[in-house]
Amino acid sequence: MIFWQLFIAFFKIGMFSFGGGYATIPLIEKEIISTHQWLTLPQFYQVVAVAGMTPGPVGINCATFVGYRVAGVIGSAVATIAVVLPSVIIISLLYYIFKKYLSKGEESVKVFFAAMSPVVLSLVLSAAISIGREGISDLWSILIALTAFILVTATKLNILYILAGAGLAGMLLYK
Amino acid sequence: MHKNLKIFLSFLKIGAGTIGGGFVMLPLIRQEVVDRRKWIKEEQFMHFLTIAQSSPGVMAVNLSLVIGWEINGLSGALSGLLGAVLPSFVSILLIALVFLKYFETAWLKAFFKGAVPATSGVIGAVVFVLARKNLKGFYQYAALLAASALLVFWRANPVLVIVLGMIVALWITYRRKV
Repeated sequence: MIFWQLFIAFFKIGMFSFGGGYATIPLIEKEIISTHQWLTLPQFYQVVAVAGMTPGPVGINCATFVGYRVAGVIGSAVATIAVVLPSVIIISLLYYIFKKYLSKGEESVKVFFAAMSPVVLSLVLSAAISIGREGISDLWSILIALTAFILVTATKLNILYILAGAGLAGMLLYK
Repeated sequence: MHKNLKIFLSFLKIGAGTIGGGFVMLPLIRQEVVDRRKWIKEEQFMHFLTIAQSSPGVMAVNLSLVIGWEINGLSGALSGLLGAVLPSFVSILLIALVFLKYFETAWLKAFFKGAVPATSGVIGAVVFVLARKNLKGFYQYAALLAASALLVFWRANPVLVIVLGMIVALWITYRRKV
């Protein structure tokens, strides 16, 4: 049954994709194109492009879109629920373990998390760099990126307004 | 307003207002739950980010779940999850049903040409803010630079970098204990 197949495929994607965002695309590609032939490769790339340009997490956007293409609105609901279910289970477990040990003031847990911080931040930094490589192409875009950086670090301005303002500036500059 | 509703609306707002996924949502989530609502402290946020990144699945979803858990238990976690997921669901269905043909317009492209560099600045800023609060001493900054170089210049698999980090972190933890 198509809904069950969708559920299993996206449950697997939610269970085995690490690294967030675009790092999950190869696994989705394998399930959707190689295993099930639900979409053609050009269709899949359209899904990825739209997922990257639509509000919300990219992985959820992919799941919703593929689910819809394969089995309509119910299909999109099934795929979305399936892709988040492993997170719900695993995060709840980890949170429970984390609370049990850290709330007791276990020094070693604090040391472990402190030692992990640079790695966690390096993933975020590399995302900033790869987005910058893609989006920064001229003097204006450097100026926009710097302005956004300064506004976030030095003011309490809501980041949503910063991003919207940059988009509007883009319309004025590039249209 | 009920706490779960507040959690739901916070994540809904961030999910609906950002484009590009988890790393774009991250700076806004931090601003909302640490600076504005003061639900959690900066140090805790770093712990939750570590948990969210070390777990499989969609990073923004993991983050909404673990932060929701901290604020208001299981119901808080599910409220955060729903808020983070709903904008995707609605906007993708709208696009699939109605707007797909408008997606390639020049105005939209110009909008992104301005918004994408800002996104990189905003994400860079959250690294700066979190590093200032959480990283101490030469070795931690050196580790940040080394891990970033692995990811950026050698295109190392993020999973590999996390696992490597965990091994080193466990070794450091073990040595402190002995």
